[in-house]
Amino acid sequence: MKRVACILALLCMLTPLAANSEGYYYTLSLSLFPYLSIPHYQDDIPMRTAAGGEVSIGALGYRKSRYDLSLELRYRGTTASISHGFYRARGFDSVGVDLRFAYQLKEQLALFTALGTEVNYYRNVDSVFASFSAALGAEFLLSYNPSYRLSLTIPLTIHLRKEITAIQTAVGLRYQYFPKGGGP
Amino acid sequence: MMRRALILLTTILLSLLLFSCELFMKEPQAGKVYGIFVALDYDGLNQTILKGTIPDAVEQNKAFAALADGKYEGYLFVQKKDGIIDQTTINGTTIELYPTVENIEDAITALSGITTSNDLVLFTFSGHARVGTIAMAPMAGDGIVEYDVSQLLDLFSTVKGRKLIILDACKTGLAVPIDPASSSTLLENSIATWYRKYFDNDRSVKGDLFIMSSSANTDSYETTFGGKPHGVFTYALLQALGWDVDQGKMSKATPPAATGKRLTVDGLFSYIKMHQAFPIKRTLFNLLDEFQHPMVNGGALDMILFTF
Repeated sequence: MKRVACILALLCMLTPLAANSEGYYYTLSLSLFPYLSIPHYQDDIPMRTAAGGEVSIGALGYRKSRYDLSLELRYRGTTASISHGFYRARGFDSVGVDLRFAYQLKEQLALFTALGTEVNYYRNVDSVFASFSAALGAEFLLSYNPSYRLSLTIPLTIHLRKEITAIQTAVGLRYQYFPKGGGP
Repeated sequence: MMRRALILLTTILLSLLLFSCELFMKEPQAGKVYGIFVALDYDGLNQTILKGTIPDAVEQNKAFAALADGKYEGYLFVQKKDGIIDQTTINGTTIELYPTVENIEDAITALSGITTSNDLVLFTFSGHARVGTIAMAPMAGDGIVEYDVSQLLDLFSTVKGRKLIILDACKTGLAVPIDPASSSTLLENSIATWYRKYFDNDRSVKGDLFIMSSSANTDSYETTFGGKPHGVFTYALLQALGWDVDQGKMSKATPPAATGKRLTVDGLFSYIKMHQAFPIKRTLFNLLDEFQHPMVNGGALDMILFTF
């Protein structure tokens, strides 16, 4: 676990140093989402509702023409669900990595997809689980100049846990910084 | 075009919130609370004598009775100094209140005939344990009878309602069943195991039986608090419940471990970890040689014990 985290952190630190192409960028994304978890086991209710927030940082981004590809480290915090009956879903923290691809449809609109995996830690109960995530969404360009882009993102994410499939519908902001001025 | 797309997506996003089942579906009403409290001091049983176990069971019985607010039946299976064995009747069955395997199994079997799915059933054990077993009294003579915790859990699976098993004894975390979907960082601390578990064929079921153990894989300790002997885990548990051991009554209307007017297993567990008198294991930097780290079963759900 520690070894994987160290390798990822090192990659993120070193790669931009070699980013002499104008298409390389750093990115910071923030989003908030409701988290709807559908259990694979029989529960008292069909779905439990929680909420969460996500922060992604990326130093392995490259943008050229209409295409955009990045590798990002992500932290996601999900609250415990609303209590119902005698149970509630546990809240958890996740640390993972995403590979993200975006295609610009129009000047201000892009579609993106992301695939990722993460390790999730149930708060306080010393318990962890691995999972995978897949996201599809739209990105609306709010502001830009040659050195940065700021976009509003609306991803729909499917969180694939072993015993639960969860749907996240987020609203977020994505800031891309082009050290060599490779913006639009 | 862009504005329309934005409005559409925002509407979809907000409407998803309205699917929140918790806001529309009727909640079940809490039923009665039943408690079986087992404690041995091992006096006369050729084992190291424990001074805190019986006070632990007695105080837990009182604390849970106070929380249940009248809807409560508690049964205390302890070794008594005078040697007199009391009796009780559960669902028409007369049971001796002495901590033998037979008496405990009779009590659980009798309870299985009266509890409903809305009830809460508590079982606590304070005493000696070895890996996977707890040390009970024999029907006659000295020595102990090692009772397999998995056998106890199998028997509890026949009892309707939510069940919380609390074990304050050495290494009882090793008796906590492994969750099919999540791993304890205390016992399965490998990223490869976590991913292997994702792909294996074991499937989760919604469990109504939760187990809280005083110690994952180390010894459990007892000490004195204001001159009164107690297990360090159980003393923190009593505090979490809001029970004042010195005063013999609830110290607050709402237990300090409750959040949002609900007392849950995770709330209790987290409070115990923060307030236990003996050090717990730090996940990243374990600088201490001696620690006692409690454990609770994994899985996606937390169980609500009491609502205030």
